[in-house]
Amino acid sequence: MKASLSASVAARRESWRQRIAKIIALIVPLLIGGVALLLQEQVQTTDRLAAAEAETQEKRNLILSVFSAHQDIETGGRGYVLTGDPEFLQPFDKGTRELGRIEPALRRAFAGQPEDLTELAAISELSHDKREFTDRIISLQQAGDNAGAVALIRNKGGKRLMDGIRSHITSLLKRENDRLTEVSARSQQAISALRQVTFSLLFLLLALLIIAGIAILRTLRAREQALIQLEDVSLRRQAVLENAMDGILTLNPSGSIETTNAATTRLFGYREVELDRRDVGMLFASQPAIGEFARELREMHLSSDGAGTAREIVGRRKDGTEFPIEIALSAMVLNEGLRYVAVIRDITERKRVEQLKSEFVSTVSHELRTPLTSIAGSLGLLSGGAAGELGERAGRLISIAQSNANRLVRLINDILDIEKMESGRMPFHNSELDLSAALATSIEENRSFSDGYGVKLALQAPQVPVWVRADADRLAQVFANLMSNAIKFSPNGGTVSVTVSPGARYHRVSFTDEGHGIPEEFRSRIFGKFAQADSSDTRQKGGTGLGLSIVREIVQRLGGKVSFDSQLNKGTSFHVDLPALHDGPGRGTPGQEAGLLVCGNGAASAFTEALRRAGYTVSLVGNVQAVRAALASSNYDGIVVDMGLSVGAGIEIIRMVRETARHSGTPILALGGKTGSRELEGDAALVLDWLRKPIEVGRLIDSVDAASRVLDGARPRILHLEDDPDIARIVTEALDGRANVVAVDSLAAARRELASNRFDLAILDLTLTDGDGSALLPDLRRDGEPLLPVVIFSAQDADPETAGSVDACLTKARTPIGALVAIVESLTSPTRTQETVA
Amino acid sequence: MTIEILYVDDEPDLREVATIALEIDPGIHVRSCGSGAEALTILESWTPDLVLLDMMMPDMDGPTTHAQIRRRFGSRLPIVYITARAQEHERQRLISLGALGVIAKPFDAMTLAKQVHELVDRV
Repeated sequence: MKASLSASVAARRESWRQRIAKIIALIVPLLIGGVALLLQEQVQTTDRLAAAEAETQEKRNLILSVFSAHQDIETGGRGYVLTGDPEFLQPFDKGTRELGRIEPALRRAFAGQPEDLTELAAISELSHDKREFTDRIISLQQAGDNAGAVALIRNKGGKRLMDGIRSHITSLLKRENDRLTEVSARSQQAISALRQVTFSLLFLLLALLIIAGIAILRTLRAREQALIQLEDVSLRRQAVLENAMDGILTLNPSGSIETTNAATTRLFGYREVELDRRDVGMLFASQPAIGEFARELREMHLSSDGAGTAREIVGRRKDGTEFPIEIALSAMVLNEGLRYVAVIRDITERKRVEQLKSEFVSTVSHELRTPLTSIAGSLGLLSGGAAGELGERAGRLISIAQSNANRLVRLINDILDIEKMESGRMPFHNSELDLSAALATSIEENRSFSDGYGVKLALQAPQVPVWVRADADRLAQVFANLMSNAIKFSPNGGTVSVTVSPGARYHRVSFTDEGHGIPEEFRSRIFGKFAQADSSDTRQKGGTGLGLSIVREIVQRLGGKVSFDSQLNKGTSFHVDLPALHDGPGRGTPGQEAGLLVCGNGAASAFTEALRRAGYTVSLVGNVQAVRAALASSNYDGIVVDMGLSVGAGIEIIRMVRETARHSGTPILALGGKTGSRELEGDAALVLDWLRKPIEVGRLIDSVDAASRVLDGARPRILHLEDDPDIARIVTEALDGRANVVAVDSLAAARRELASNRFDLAILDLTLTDGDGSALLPDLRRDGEPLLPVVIFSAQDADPETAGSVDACLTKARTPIGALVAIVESLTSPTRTQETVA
Repeated sequence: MTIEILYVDDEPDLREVATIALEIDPGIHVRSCGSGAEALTILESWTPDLVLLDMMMPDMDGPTTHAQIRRRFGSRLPIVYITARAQEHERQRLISLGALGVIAKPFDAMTLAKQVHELVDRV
């Protein structure tokens, strides 16, 4: 409890950390993206700055080359005038050409800067003047007027022009420089701003990563602690499991063993690995087929009180020894699905003690009965006048003694009955009984008793038979006990009414008296042993205080229950509910009384009616729950499922029918739905016939008739008792396709099979390792009448008495196997079965 | 002198047998009743020499009846238990409650009167 609590707290803390981790995981990429964008921006700004620098440089070069071109022109002009050497004309020409080339470039470079363009225009004008001036000088020189040229130069016109140009150029350069400085400052600013933001973001990123790291570390540590706790819990549980006296197993839904504890291996003598993944059935003496136990698990799970259902069965150790065990099953739902826990207890000792107690009680009771018999006998003789006439007082004393001796005899008989029932040694010979008839007999038998009390007995029962399966003698005991109770507690002149009320799952018999009712405080322990509302009362009524206890034991053994309702001073009703048997004895023949279960809604009522007219007994149920209840309570000869009932319901019903043990072989007819649809793949085999909608009633009835025939013609089940595996195999093979053969190799195994399964024929070998096969014959008879045909198939000749009491006696080696098959077939043919029934 | 005895037992057969057995002795007269409550009513109008009290009775058991008698009629009335539970420790318990004696069931019918005589002589 504590561990799970702290685990849930850890889980909550974990979810808190997980949220933070999620937020961080979202933020971090955003931050990284932001930083990347900022870095890109920074790079672009730097690029722009470099571009601006380059542009300025280019402009400066252009400006400087304008100046140098003018210098060339100046130099050329002056040099030519001073030297008269035409070579100086070369720089002049070059400068002029250069200017012509530069000018448009300049204009392009400074386009959009009107101030600079004005300056350029001024330069251009000055340049024009300068070139004109220089041209004039050169022309004068060329014309031989050197003096004129020199005079012009001295006039300083050229120098003035040149100074003007220089001053403009300087101004341009300065402005350009200023601009560059400004751009550069702005860029620097932007870059430093970007850098700041970037650093902040990076810092944030780092902080987040640190938080995330801490969170992860914490989570890991918490998880580690939780794991340690879990391990502790698990170790503790493991220790409990391992030290438990009881074998504790977990099973998967198919019945395979998943885990075992030490006690399991100790109890059964297997090693753990030998049990792992094996079917749990291997641990039981009556070894069910693989998967059979799983079916029981499922049924247990389906019944509402599935948790911890305990029952006693016989376990089998590895060495083959058998011992009584109590097994308690409960279901649990794990993450990986449904699992079952089986707790197995060795109850050898308990059984031994029970056995001792029961033997003791039984011995004491029998020992008491012997002297009591002499006492009661002697008293009977005395009161009957065997020793001469008795005086009045003597007669009275003898009569007291006699009635008390009789009471003691009844008490001892009741104790013996209870003891036998509790130890399971009371044999029940169940057969199909009509409750109404059984009650009529009981009433006759109790007539003199009720007359003695001046009480009338009235039976109210339906005209039709009300079938149950019960032991006739035990049921009579139940009725006699309840009836005598009701009579004893009725007022003189009162009536005890006995009522039979048929029901779907249970038939009810009620015994109602008009007595004082049961005192409130006594109601809870009325079924207890020696329970007496008022001991003097009970003694006056001559009861033993065990009657109701016996009634309850018997009724429970018959699968029913006893209840009562009582009103003070008005009367009491005791109710016996016994599982209803709707078929009555034997199976109904087709076309007469076959019970059909139709699962469908209102639309199905049309063909239900048609089936009834065709002679079938039809029960119509409309939903899955009702079907489940019907399947649990009755045996049906055939089941018709309307696949259009509701989505998936048809399939569910078909699977349910197949999983119910008693209906696993019942023919199913499916109506409509998506014939052959994918949903029934694999289940299609479960269905005998499939009719499309619209349903033709005639075809439906044909199909039901056919189903009934299939049922009657079902392969007979044959029990073959044979200890030679080779012969067993040969017989099984020879009968393959004609009959289902269950081969057993010992008398014990045969008895187990007979106890749990129905057979249509038995083949017996006489010489067996554990006795003579003919020893099984009494098991195959009831009240001297054979229950099923018996064929002796042995190497040894049967003695004449045995041979005369069986249906056929065949000698191995002398009888060809084909003859055996023929005899088996003739003995199990349906016509013969019907004769037997008749 | 006749010894007057009140016999209290819920079992009618036993009352009859015990009465017959005690009255074999002509010096004993027995009056019997079936419950503690009846006994208390009888004692209102009649004081016997001895009360023979069954221990297990419905409604009011022996010791309860005993206590009621002591409360209403004082401690002079001798009470003797007659019980099927007469093992030594039960006997001791009943004596400690103030019983004069304990007679075990089943009693010997032929010596019952004698046992009662002996007990009465002790008083």
